[in-house]
Formats: sequence, C-alpha cells, structure tokens
Amino acid sequence: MLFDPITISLLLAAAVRLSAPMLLASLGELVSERAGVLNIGLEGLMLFGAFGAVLGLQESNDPLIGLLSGALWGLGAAAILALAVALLRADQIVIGIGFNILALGATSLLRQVALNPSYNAPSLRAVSLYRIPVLYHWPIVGRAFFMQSPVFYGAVLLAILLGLMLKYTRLGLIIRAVGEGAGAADAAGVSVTVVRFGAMAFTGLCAGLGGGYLTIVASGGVFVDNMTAGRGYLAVAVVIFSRWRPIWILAASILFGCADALQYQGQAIGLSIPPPLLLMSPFVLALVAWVLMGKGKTGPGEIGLPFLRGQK
Amino acid sequence: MPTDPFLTLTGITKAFVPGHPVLDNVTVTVRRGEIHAILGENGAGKSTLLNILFGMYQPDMGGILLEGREVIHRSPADAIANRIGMVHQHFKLVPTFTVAENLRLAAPPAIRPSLARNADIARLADSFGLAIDPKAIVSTLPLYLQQRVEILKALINRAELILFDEPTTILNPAEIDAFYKVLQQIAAEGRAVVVVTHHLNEVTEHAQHASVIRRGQLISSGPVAGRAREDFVRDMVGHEVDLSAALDGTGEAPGPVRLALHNVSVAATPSSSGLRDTSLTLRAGEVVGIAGVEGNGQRELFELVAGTILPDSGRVEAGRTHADGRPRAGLVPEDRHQEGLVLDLPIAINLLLNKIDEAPYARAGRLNHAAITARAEEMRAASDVRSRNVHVTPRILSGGNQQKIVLARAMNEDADIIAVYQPTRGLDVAASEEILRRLRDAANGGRAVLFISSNLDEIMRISDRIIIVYAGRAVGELDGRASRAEIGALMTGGAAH
Repeated sequence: MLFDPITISLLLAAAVRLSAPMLLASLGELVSERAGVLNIGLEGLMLFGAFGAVLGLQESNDPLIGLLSGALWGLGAAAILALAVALLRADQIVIGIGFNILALGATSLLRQVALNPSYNAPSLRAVSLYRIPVLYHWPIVGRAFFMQSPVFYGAVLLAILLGLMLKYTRLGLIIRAVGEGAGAADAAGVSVTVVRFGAMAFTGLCAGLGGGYLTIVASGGVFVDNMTAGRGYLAVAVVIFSRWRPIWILAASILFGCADALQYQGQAIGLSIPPPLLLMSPFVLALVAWVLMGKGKTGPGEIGLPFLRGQK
Repeated sequence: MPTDPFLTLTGITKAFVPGHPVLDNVTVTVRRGEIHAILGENGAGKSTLLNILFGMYQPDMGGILLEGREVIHRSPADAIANRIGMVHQHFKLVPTFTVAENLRLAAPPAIRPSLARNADIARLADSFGLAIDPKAIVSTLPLYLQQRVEILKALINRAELILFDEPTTILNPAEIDAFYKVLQQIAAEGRAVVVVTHHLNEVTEHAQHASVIRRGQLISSGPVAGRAREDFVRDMVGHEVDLSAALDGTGEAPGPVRLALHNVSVAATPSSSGLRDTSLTLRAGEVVGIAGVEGNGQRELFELVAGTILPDSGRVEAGRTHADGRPRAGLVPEDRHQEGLVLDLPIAINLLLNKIDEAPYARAGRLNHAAITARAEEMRAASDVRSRNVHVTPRILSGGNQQKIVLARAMNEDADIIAVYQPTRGLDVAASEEILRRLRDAANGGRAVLFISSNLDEIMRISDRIIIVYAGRAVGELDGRASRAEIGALMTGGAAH
C-alpha cells in the first residue's frame, strides 16, 4: 500500500503542488538575501498576497486578475517594509518580525471588512491546471511535474532565469556586490539603497504571488486568517538550506513540500507516524537549516547589516 | 623641471564642529610625474583633505582646480569621472568576489567591454606591470595583492591622479619597497600620485614632493630633495624631536635578575618558528630589546612572560609570581584592540582590569565604583590620556591614547617586570616618543623591561642589551650601541662578525 506507484505518484504530485508557494517566496527571498537583506517579513508579505489575491478574485471574478492582485499587494507591502529597512536602515530582524505580526492582524481585519464570506468562486482551472502534452503520461513523475498549475511552471522558469541572471549579468554582479561588500559597491557608484529597495520589491512581488497561489490555486479562492501558517518562515529556511542557489531552492522547496504533503496525506496512505510529528516535520527541517546557517561561510557576507557610508 | 599643475586644492577649509576647523585654508598643488606625500600626525587633517578631494566631504571654503578649470566633487563618482582614483586604507573590494568580478564591478560602461574575458584582464594587468590571477578570490589573497587589485582598479578606470590613504600600514618592509617601485612607475608614465602617510622614511626615500599638515594647517610644501628628516619631524610635531637620540639609562650597573628563561622550547606553528632551547635573563633597571624578523619566536616569548602558554621544555623563573605560578609582569600586548583593551567598556575599567577583583575596587563580589573612578582619574592624569573623563570608552580615542591606557595598566601592576610587544605600532611620532620615554623611565626607576619590536630604530635607541632571535633561537646578544649592520646580519641568520 505504502510504496505502490500510484500512492507515490499522488504523494509526489501533492508535494510539488504544495511546494509552489514556498518556491516563489524563496526565490523572492533569495534576491533580497543576495542583496544583503535578511527579509524575515516574508511571512507577512505572503499573507498580504494571499488576502490581496482573494480580494482581486472577488472583485473581478477572474482568477488571473486575482493572482495579479496578490502579487501587487505583496509589492505594496514590501515597499513599506523596504522603506523601513533599506531607506531608514532599521534593524532587519526586528522590523521583519513586527511586520509579520502587523500582517496577521491587518489581513484578519481586512477579511472581515472587505471579503464576502459566502462568495462562490468561478472555475479556477485556468490558473490551477495545465497538462503538458505527452510528458504528463510519464509514470510516477508525469503527474507530479507535468500536471501542475501554470504558476508552478512559471516559478521553475524563474528559478532558472534567476540563476543565470545572478551568475552572468551585470545586474546579478551588482546585486551580489551589494550583499557581499556594500562599501565596495558604493565606491563603484552603485546605489546600495536603490538596489536593496528593488530587491525587496521583487521579493514582495514573488511572495505576494506565492500567497495568491495558496488561496486561489491551492484553496479554491478562500482566504482564512493566518493561512500561510509559517510558510514564509519556512521559505526563509529553504533559502538557507539551499545555500543561496536558485536550482537548489527548487529541490529544497519540493522537499519541504513533501513534508507538507505528508501531514495531510500521511494517514491516508497508512503511515503510522503520529500526525503531530508529521505536522512538525517541515519545521524540524527548517531548524536544521537555521543551524546550518551558523556553519560554513557561504551566505552573503553582509547579510542583515544596514549600510551606512563612512562606517568601517 | 616643474610641469604645470595637474590639480590644485585652493584654500580648503573644513570644520565638522563650527569654530574648530579640521582644515584651515590649505592649498596644495599636485603635478604629473611626481609622488606627492602628505605628511602629518594622526588627526592632523590629512585624510580629511584626501576625502574632500575625492568627493566624500564638501569643503566649507575653497575649491579644486583641475588642469586650470574649477571642478566640484559632490560624490566619489564625480571624482572618478574626473580621472581620479583612490586606494582607501580599508579596501573597497568585495571579499568573496574574484579579482575579475571586482574590476568589472568598478568599471565605468565605456571600459567594461575590455574586461569581458579573464584573459583580457590578465593581459591588461601585465601591461601595467601588476600581474595578477583574475580568477583568484580576493579574500584569499595576501594584503599586498589586494592592494594591487585596488591600484589596478584605478589604472583600468584610466585615473590620471591616484590617491593613497596610509597605504603601507598593512605591508612589510619588502612589500613597502615593491609598492613604491610601482608608484614610481605610475608617476613616470605621466600620472600624478598622492600618498598620505605618517612614515617619514617613506617620504624621504620615495617622494619627490612633500606637504606637511599640522593641526589643520599647511606648515610646509615643497620638494623633498634637500630637506632632512629632522625638518619634516619639526614641521609635523611643532618642535624639535631627535628621532635618533638614544634614550639613556642611569649608567648604573643593572640590578638583580628579575626574569630568567632556562632553555625553553615552544612548538612551531604555521606562522611562527616557535622557540628552541632559548635562554635569557632580564635584570632590574635595564631594557632588553628583542630584535628579529616577525615570526621568529617573538610572540611565544611574550606569551611565556605573560603566562598564557607554558614551555614544552625548560623553565621560566620570575622574581614574583601570581598565585597560579604565572610570572607577575606588566603587559603591553601586540594587538591593543583585541588583547590590550575591552574597547566598549569604560576607560576606568580598562585601566584597572588587572585589579578589578581586589580590594578596594571590589568587596565581596561588588564593584566599588567610587574607588575605581578615583584611582582611574589619578592614572589618567599621570599618563596624560586625553579623554573627557574615565567613563567614556577607549573605542573613541586615538591609537596613541589607547596605548597610553594599556601602558598605564601595565605600570600599575605590582610587578618588577614590564613586557611590551610592538608598543608603538600604528602610533604617530609624538605618541611613540612618549611611550618610549615612559618605558625608559620605568627601567631607570628600577623595573626590568622586555622590549619586543620589529622596529629596529626603536630597539637601538632604548635598549641596554639587544638579543636577536632567528628561527626560534637567541642567535646573538649585542650591546645597546651595536650597529644596524651587525644586528641586521644576525636577524637574517648570518653570523655576528
């Protein structure tokens, strides 16, 4: 029962499906961290995105506009966060945690004020499923990787493009320089503030889209309070776990997605592990990632440090 | 053959606090083909002048003339656009990037295509006579090569004037010579070079033109040729200082032995030879200088006296010891920021760190701040530590004042021995002189001073006896009046005569 191909195929499909929000948010976070900002506010950005997506969906009845609205809410929220962190150079951790608490309260309030609880969502198939011809017939992995939301395919493409951008373009060089040695970037005429602001805005866009995916693609257009449930924090862990490399983020997101899927499907497929342990598993993985951060020096050199010209 | 000025700073005045100008009406002219040294004590304002030229600060009054036309540098970008490059004291390099990535990052758009491939960069570096591996990660390079990357950055960006802020503090003597050879070549190709420094030897040996700044005012500016070291010292300090005069002892025979090392050995490390079967004695009333190239056992020697390591074999005998057997000694360690001071604790605590758990400063585990402050104020006054009070932290003080705190604590130790390791490193002339004089006074007052330094001039001036260490052994002992040639031969492993 446990290891027959159909069970594995279904579990893997669920894992990949659940990995997409984390993948998007992690890719966004990656850019912030590469530019030297440890963006703990990711959880809040996703939450705003999740809310914004449902709001957009209810207003337009179009799931695509819903997703777009989610991304833009993420962007708007990130602008506020970036104002404090990149422009006013506040402490990144303190502001990030405060922002997450704010997001939890704000979206909960906004849900009561602005969302219709008895709203009937239209068909969301346009954004939730696209079968890639031929490939989806593949045994086991076909269902997992080629019967997914177009948003997931987009996220995979984004991972590849980000990898190439960071490695081979001048923009990538500048982003990395700002994260590794802001003083050197400044001396070269790069505006550290602008780069960090831009990186955080991109993070907001991605995290917002990830939140939108969570409500529109994964939950049928329904927003529930605190529906990200720690996925933003997990995404921060994914970035560290992946050693700041986009392709590894893809793999790590699916790994975290597996842990996520197991907590829903573990019992169904006859795993005899107690549910609370499964519920805990992504966070245990995350904890390992945080501990690893202290080991080795592969992260951006000046992550978490505000930049002030003239300081040694 | 004075050429037309390339750049003139005219009447520069700058005050960070109104009424207290850091620079007061300073005019300096820079010519192509010359190394122009700007000389001054710490805090004289020379770095501020450089930063104004490079657009990091704006002058309150005065301006910049570049080849006869007035320019305004609002930011470093403006200065770079005017073909000025700067090598900062703390390098502006991304440590985790390769050499090539750092050069590409700093290159303006017009130059980027020529840096596209690593081979292009290697060839370009060779053409300047500054060979480097473009693929090397900067943080893995020795400091002199990191500096080379900074110089290359300026040259590749077609700088006509290159500014250097204290470029040699991180270099060893051989690297310093090589560094100035590069500067000579850069100048010979028709560029202008400005070096801010407080090292006199470099100025007299390598610069063609020197400007001396003291307390924000230009004291002198002219060709180096025909001026003696003493002239520059007088301009820098404001009064006559004889930098070669011996600091004399009392003339009496030294007293009883205070410290003896009997055939001590300490294992070698990658950065040091360790010690091998070394013996030495230190008597009351004398200064014993330890001369040698860095890494020949000096650190181990200091740590044996400090009691932070024990010899693998042999014995360390001190006249007075702590309860745990460590020699009782006043200590001035090599790195005053890491080992000498707790930079963020008040001066008072730092001054009494070695006694903070004794009466009257602590009773039953409680600190007596009134007693600490009272004693610390006494020590501060006696040692001429220039700070507002003893409650501020040493972090905000100059290196000279920081070192005075460390020395005051060492003198305050109930010990017959004072052991110092590089006591004047990074200090300017006036502060160095004061530290040396205090050490000599301590010996003349009956203490035994172990003086470990890589500065041979100092050792020769202050020591009654000089012991030369090479490869972990004491290879020779000379009288304090020994010649530089004798000491130098022993330092590099040659025989004494």
